[in-house]
Amino acid sequence: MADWVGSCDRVLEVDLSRRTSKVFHISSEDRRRYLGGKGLALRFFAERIRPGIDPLGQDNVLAVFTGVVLASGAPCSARFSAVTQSPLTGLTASSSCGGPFGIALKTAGYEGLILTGRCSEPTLLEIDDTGARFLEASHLWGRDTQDTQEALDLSAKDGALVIGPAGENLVLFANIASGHRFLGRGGFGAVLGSKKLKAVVARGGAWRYLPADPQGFEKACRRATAYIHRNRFTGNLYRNAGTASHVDLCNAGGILPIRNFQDGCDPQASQISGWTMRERFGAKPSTCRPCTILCGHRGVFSDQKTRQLPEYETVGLLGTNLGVFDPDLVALWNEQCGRLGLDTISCGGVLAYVMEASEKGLISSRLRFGSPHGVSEAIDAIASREGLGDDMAQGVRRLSEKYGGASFAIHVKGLELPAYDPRGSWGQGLAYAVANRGGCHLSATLFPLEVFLGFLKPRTPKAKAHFVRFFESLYAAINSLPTCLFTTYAYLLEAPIARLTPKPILAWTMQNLPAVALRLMDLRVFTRLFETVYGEKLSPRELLRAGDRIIVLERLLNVREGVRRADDTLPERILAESRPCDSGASKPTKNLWHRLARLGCPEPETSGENPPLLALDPMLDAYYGLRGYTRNGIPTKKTLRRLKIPLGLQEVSAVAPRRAVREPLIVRVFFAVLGRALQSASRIDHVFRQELAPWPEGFTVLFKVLPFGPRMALRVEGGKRLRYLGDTLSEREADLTIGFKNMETATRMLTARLSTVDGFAQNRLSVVGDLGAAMRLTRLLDRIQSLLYPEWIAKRVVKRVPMIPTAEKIWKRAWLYLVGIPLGV
Amino acid sequence: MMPSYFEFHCPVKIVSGFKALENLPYELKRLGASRPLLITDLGVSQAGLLHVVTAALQDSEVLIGAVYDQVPADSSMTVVQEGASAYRQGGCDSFVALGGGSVIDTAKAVNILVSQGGDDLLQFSGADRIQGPLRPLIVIPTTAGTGSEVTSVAVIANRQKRVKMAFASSHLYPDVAILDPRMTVSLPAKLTAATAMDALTHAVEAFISVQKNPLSDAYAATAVRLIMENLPAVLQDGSRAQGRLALADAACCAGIAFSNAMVGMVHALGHAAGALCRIHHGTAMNIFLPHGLEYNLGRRRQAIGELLLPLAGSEVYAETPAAVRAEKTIETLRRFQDEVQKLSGLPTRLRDADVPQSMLESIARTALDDGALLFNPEDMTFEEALYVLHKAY
Ligand code: SF4
Ligand SMILES: [Fe+2]
Repeated sequence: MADWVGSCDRVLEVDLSRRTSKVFHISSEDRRRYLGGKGLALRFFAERIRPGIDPLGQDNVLAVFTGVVLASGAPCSARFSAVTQSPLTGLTASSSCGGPFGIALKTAGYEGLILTGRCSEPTLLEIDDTGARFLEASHLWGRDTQDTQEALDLSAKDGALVIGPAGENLVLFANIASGHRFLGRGGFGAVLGSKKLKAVVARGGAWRYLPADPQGFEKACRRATAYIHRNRFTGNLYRNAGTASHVDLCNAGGILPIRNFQDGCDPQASQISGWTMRERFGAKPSTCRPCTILCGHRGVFSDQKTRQLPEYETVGLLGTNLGVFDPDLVALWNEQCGRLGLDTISCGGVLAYVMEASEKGLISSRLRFGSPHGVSEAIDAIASREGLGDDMAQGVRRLSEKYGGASFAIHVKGLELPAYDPRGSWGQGLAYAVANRGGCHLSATLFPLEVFLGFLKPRTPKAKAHFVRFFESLYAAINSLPTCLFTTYAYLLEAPIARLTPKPILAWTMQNLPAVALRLMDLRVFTRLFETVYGEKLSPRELLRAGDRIIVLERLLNVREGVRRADDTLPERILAESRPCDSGASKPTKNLWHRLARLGCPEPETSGENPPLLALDPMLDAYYGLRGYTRNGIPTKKTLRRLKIPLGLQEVSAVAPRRAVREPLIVRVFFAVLGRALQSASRIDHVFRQELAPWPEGFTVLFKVLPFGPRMALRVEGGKRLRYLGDTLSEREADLTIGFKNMETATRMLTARLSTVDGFAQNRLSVVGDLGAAMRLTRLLDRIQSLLYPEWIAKRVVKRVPMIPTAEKIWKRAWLYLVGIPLGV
Repeated sequence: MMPSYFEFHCPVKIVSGFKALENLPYELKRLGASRPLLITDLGVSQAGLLHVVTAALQDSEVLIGAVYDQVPADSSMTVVQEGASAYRQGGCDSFVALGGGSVIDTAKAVNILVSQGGDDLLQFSGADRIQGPLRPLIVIPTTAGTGSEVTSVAVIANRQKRVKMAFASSHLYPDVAILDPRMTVSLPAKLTAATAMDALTHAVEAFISVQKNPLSDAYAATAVRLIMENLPAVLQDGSRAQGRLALADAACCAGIAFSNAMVGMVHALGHAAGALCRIHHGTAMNIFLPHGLEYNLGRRRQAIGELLLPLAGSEVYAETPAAVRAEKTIETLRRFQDEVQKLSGLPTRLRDADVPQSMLESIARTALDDGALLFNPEDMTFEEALYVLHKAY
């Protein structure tokens, strides 16, 4: 037994084709920039991967990294990370897991393990402090994940990564098990299967790790533990009812997927919630080790067998989303998936798609919503890739390419969506859309803020980009420390500043001044844990910057695979359809306080029946801006330089255009002025009233600079008044879109250097929609310009300046400039 | 006058002249099509024109997948849906449209449905709502007027909503237009006159449009000249193939001109009158054209004056002092219209076209919302529109 302070800084790289291995050291520069865990795994993965490789071929690389905080004894410090090229999405995938492998690997003397090449025969890789050994594994081939681990003869200090039949058969969403925890999403199991590695065993316990500053470390741990105990989520909900306690919250918030995301809540949901399961089956902790939150549980089910209680995602995707509300069944299927080595989220997504496609007659199968018949058989068929199971093993995207039904293929970039419907949580929608591994809720989680805690309004694009960016970076950093993401609830919300500020003030600041709110977040628990273990300073700023770096590097790898803005989108159903549960959405009360708070921040009204469609584009624009990407979603050179991202990858951005800053800003300002002026004029001007009389109520006009904004929308409301909606609307809601073909045109027209007439005449505008409506709109534009501009300017931009009595002109102009535009009334 | 900026686009291949139709199989093959749906109307098929087309296809690789000949003079959503199901049942891969504006517009609309999928035409109505290229479309106009063979728009009536739906998209340009004199010989004199006056209006309005540009001007002037030179002769003797062909070419030129320099108030008024009083489009054009010129005299004096050259020929043009050319243009036009009226009976006043005076107000109101007004040089208010209508009455 030997001791290390902090970390050993050693990485074991194994070439499976040549059966060789070597050890190299992590430089202090890499440590500072990427921290450990996910960050370092990604960094070394990026260095070794070439674009366009076959994820199931020999060129794929699998990097598994632990990190500084892991095995230190801090709360929730068993989570290790892995990075590979996902066969499901074709993009970079990362995953985190709290099984025993992490601590075993680190105490065997390696902070990371990199696997390249592939074996020719089923192989078992055994790792200890002396190096790596290749063992024959054909006797394990075909066994499920739990059997295999039992057969491996693991001591308490050992840990293994194993795949089940699904991984062996290259099911694209097969996972890797370690204990009863999983590297779940993105098909890590298939990658290991393609390398013919049945298992990787780390024989740990050779080394021990001591913190660099034992007293400081103790103090940090004490504080962390206290926060965790005090927090409602970590200390109560998760500890007692697991993540499945989300069921009730999501059901109430209308984000619980029902029948392939056709609805967002269901009266039967409580039958399957974490609390009900706890009551019915008991809940003994069964968790990652060590852990202070204890979110995992086991229970005794109706057939008197002990099983893991399903997590929320599993309950959602294998339960409610299939129309099944029986926890016994879900637990059974959960166990089945676990043993076969299948990701329950993707598996559930695939089942739901097949159920809907069968109901619509696109696929012939007997799977139907609400019925358990054939589900278990289908799961087996997926793992063994028999019959339809062979197609189902390819995931929802490929299924819909083969059988049709793209509109209800619920995935982003090929990764099936987790169980939070973004239509009731727009920020989560943005998080899904931009997550580097595809539809993933662990890249940034906004639903707690939007739905559980009420800090952010769920159905507005405002402030969402700030939070998505923040959580992405924070989570990437947390996965690189590493510790469990769930500690975020406790460490952020229980820090004095968040705890002592009255909630309405906190919420208002978050919603309206997100940059300020985020700057005030206290991240010191995270940084102190790292500092005291490793003995080097880490400021909260550096922590987030490391997170930024990781996210941008990951994005860059995806950009190299062809990912652009068009890929940062959501399933058609999410963007275009509204759900039965939406129609009951109550109108928010509009008291003076709300009106004041809303001043200057336009928002679509929940107009009667249907709530607004998810407005992804404004959030994407803001997000790209914050991240330093072009409007097409490519990291700019400047961003890469600022974050010191390795040079070799910059080839992608060699062609990336730069990001314009000044002109879009001008256009946005003028859009706001014009929009508010039109809104205001529709209330005070009789010509406007006359003109608007025949317009249908709810008619929406969108002004947009092609291709990616800025945008501005106006809607005809009750009383035939115009309402300025700014950039808060889904482009799909526009009945008439006036597109400026480029930024130059927009600036010139808005600054009265190009007239409306010429804009149309010279084809500088693209009109989508009814031309008659465009004609009516130009009359309003002419009128507003005559009201706003002095005659000598107005003459240049409208065909004929109307005669307006001087007195009327003066008071209207004064009203517009002094009241209408600044106050938005 | 040079515009500071303009765009010009016409991707249609034009095959014009003696026995042009015999090229149909070659053109279909070039477009990779072998099983067209033939769209036409009963009038055309009764006139025996269909046989000319089928004869052109004999001994070729082309099989006619289906024939749909039920297009009325005023196409509607149901017609389009019928056409689409004929296309689908016949396993077709392309279109040949044989007929006037209504047939061509129907073919374009059916093409939208079958290429974009679905049954809901409404979702594609308006400008630029169509994504991606459509199936090959070859048009063979049997009237010489609308210019649909070279335009990117289609108009279809929506009976339920009692409106005309316009579709505009650069994907709507036909691939080939075949102008064959055999196709227009049978047109009666009055209709010949009306369609020619429509073409003339296209050319004239394009020439004074806010979008006018050197290229559109060239097409417009050519169209004007061809019509002035050939219309009276054709009206006297409808069997003149050369004159017929010249009118077809003129309509085509005018179509190209106004696709790139949009028409203005004359069309706005004409569309409104047509929709409300079912007055023939060409007749309406004939009635409103001189008034449109007078109305725009203030802003387009020079352009209108330049029109004198193609309208009256170089001698008259040279004799007329520059300052009064615009007035001379309008005068020449009026005289020409009188001549046409004598030859064909085409009315020049609204009262002669069965338009009740009580309708003028609603015509004016409807015209104000017509997209074409955007491209008229001069602005127009309700009162002004009404004034023009009264003058034309
Ligand atoms: S809270 Fe749950 S996920 Fe996190 S470390 Fe503990 S058991 Fe694992
Ligand atoms: Fe016309």
